[in-house]
Amino acid sequence: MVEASDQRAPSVGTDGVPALELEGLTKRFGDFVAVEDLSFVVRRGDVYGFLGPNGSGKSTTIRMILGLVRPTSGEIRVFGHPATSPEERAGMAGFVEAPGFYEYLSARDNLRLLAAADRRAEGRAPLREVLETVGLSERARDKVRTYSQGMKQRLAIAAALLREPEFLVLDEPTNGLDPGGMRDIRALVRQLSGEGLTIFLSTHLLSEVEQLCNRVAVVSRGRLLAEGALAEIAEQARDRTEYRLVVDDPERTRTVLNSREDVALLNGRPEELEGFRPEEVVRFSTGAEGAGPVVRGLVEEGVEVLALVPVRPNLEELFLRLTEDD
Amino acid sequence: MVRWELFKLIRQRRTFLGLGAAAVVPILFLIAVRITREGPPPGEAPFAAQLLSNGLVIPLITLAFGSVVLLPLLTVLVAGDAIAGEVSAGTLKTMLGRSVSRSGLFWAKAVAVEVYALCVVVVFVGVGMLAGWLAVGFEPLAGLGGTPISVGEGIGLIWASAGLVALPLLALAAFAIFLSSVTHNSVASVVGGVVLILLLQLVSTLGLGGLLDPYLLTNQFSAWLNLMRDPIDWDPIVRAAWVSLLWAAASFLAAWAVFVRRDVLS
Repeated sequence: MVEASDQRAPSVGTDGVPALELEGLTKRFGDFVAVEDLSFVVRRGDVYGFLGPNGSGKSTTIRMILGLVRPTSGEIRVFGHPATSPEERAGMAGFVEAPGFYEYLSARDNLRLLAAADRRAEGRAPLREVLETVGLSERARDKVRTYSQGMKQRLAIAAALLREPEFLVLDEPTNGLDPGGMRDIRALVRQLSGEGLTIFLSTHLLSEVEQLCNRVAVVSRGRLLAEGALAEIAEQARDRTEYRLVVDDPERTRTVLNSREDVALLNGRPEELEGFRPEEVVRFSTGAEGAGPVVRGLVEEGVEVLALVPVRPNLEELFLRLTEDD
Repeated sequence: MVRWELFKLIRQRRTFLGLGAAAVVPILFLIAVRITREGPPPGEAPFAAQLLSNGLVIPLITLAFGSVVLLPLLTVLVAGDAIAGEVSAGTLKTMLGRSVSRSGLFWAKAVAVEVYALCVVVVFVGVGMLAGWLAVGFEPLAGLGGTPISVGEGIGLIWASAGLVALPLLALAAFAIFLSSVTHNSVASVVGGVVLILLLQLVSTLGLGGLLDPYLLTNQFSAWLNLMRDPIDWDPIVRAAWVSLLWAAASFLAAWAVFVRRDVLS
């Protein structure tokens, strides 16, 4: 597990209150633990990536943040207030999973209805502006039933912006879109972030995090695996160099490595090394001291080391390793 | 929010299918009567003796039959979907992300559904009355005890009857909303509401109700017949009112309590 970073960059905005704080957030459905002891902080001005494979508890977490699901335990604070009622979630807007709209109403009527649900006086909500922002002005009078997936995603962002929030929660906003649609949404996220919004962006696409986010939390099976600035996590990835080792006795090698505290055996993927059969290769990672002590230990145990290859993981591999070795 | 809930109802085709059915059935009944020149044999249904000669009888007989299955069904079809339909369409999560409180949203929905149920009854009785007037014309009504009822008084009593049928209907709508809130499943809620009606009717028909029989929700649908007696028998009418209100209050409170707490997972 990569340690969460305690370094705090200066926050954007008028005061230091974070946009979102999760503290020990847990949700159980019967025996199934969907989210376990999740804690992290989204500061003002962040584009915060919430990264994890499908089914890792991301959506359940967002449902709790938006007030759709009651946490089993733990606390959620939005701009410093415990987010237990709509009033306390006032500065926040967003959506979870596929956005739901009244298909038999036009986009405009959907937005008017949502503005009413926000207790906005008729005519005061920036309807035209948000439709303009997401590029739906031309189609605003058409029924949502006739919209493509990408248009619905954009309408969902418009619906969120209608609240004039300071903090935007987007759940897989590019899901199910073609490359053009993805590019449009990402450009929009960049634009909104540039306008000063804090954005919490859930995704299972690492490339999306790399393109958009300054900080990231990585989750798998409901637990936090890593949290911090994107650059720091990339740095940690370089520190945690992985080695592929070819020996005369892999079985014995694994036993020896297992007994060492400074070594983590890596499993989960075929262990490939050109010129050797996968079963001959042992994959492990170790700390900053490198592979020297490990090799010495193996030789002392009578294992013959035939090859040792360091492999520096890129972020993609780190993510896979974080979520697989769990 | 009530205004928007009603707006949503108006924009859904299903609402008009329901109201349309409530309008068409009395007309179909009238046409059938005019073609065959006969209705239910006298004694089998109230007022049947005047069926061919008095248009005022049309809304009364259709009310007697409609309150058994048609009106409850049309009500439950919309009420059972009120919350569950929004869960499956994903619109409930969208609404709950706004500033409106869960309670505010719930009561707006409850009011809209009850307004729809009232509209069903009004359309059903209104169309029946209008069709009867146009096709047959009105004349004084023979009350259930034989006392004649003037046309003006008859019209008043028919609308009073409609109001009395509306009470258990509103209670049934509340129960369907409760099922909708608990199950988050439209089909289960609609079927559940219909099953409740059929079950209670069965209990009553088989005489299993015992002392409880006069208090079953379904038996309140016929309380209006007592308005047609001279003198009016108020006991069953008062009972219909409080039994219906009790059902409605209990269903609404339970539905509300579930709605404000329940996790929304779709």
